[in-house]
Amino acid sequence: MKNLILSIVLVAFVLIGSFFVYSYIQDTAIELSKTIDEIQALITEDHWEDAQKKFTQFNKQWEPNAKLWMTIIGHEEIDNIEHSIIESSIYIREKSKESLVELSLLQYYLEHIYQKEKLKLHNIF
Amino acid sequence: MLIVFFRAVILYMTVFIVIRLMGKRQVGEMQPSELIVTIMTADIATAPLESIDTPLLNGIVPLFAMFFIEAVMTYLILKSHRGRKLICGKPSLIMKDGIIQEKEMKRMRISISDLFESIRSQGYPRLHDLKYIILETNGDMSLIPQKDISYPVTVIADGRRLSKNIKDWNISEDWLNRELLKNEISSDKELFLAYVDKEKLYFHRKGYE
Repeated sequence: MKNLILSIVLVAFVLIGSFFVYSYIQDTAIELSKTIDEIQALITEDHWEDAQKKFTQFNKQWEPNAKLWMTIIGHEEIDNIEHSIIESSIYIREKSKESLVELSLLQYYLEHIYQKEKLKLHNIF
Repeated sequence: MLIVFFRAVILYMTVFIVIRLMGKRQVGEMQPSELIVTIMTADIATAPLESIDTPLLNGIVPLFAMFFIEAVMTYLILKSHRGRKLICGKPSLIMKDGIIQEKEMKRMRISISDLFESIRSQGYPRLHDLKYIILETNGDMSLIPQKDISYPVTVIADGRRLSKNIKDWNISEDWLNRELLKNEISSDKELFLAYVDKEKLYFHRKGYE
């Protein structure tokens, strides 16, 4: 009986915890994705300096989240994002339109993380 | 995290069903649910250990799931007769009243050499010395020799009457009711356990320590 109560407490902790973790991931991913949208709009209009500033802001937003995400999500996903951030920053610095592609990819990686964590049948199986 | 949790629950249930279908031969001195926990916990724990790219939580959450299912299973085994039957199965009589139950042996996939091996290892080289051979739910074989002629039959467990046992062993319900009344037991619910041995009723009351 003691074990049953303890295990129910642990499971409740996991279920409630995962709810908060999931909404935290979703919120930050959407926020980061919005910043990428803004950067892409600036690049399309050739405002490279503003795009660079916005990208620095994105980096500042990302760094504290990355550490937390690593404890929850597979490190491979985080590596993909980091990789994409480095490539995007170089493209923006060199004022290359290729940055639009890389930023879209970055956006996909971010969204993929919370899509993957969604409680859907196809994610379980 | 939730995905990992549900995946662990589904995998546990799948392994459980497979092991239950495999039967007692596969179990070997453990209840099916205990065996699964033993097999799976070790494997779950090593996944994040083998790869540093896997977050530790991916190993910890399924372990919590194992612990949870095991606790629920144990609760059901202790509290419900139907749960116990479903989770552990029920003992099989391989020999009844000195007669080998061929069908049951086939069903349990026990060969004659398995049977002899088992009885020899328990100090009975001659099959005709035995009256009852029971294959327990944990895969062990229990032997009751001819000299102990009786086989106690459980008639009430956890306050519930086991009608199947009563019918299988030709115990008269009227006789059982009379015996209970004689002992001032008005309802089966008052009893934790009752069994019949050599046409005599033995019982343990609930909460009587």
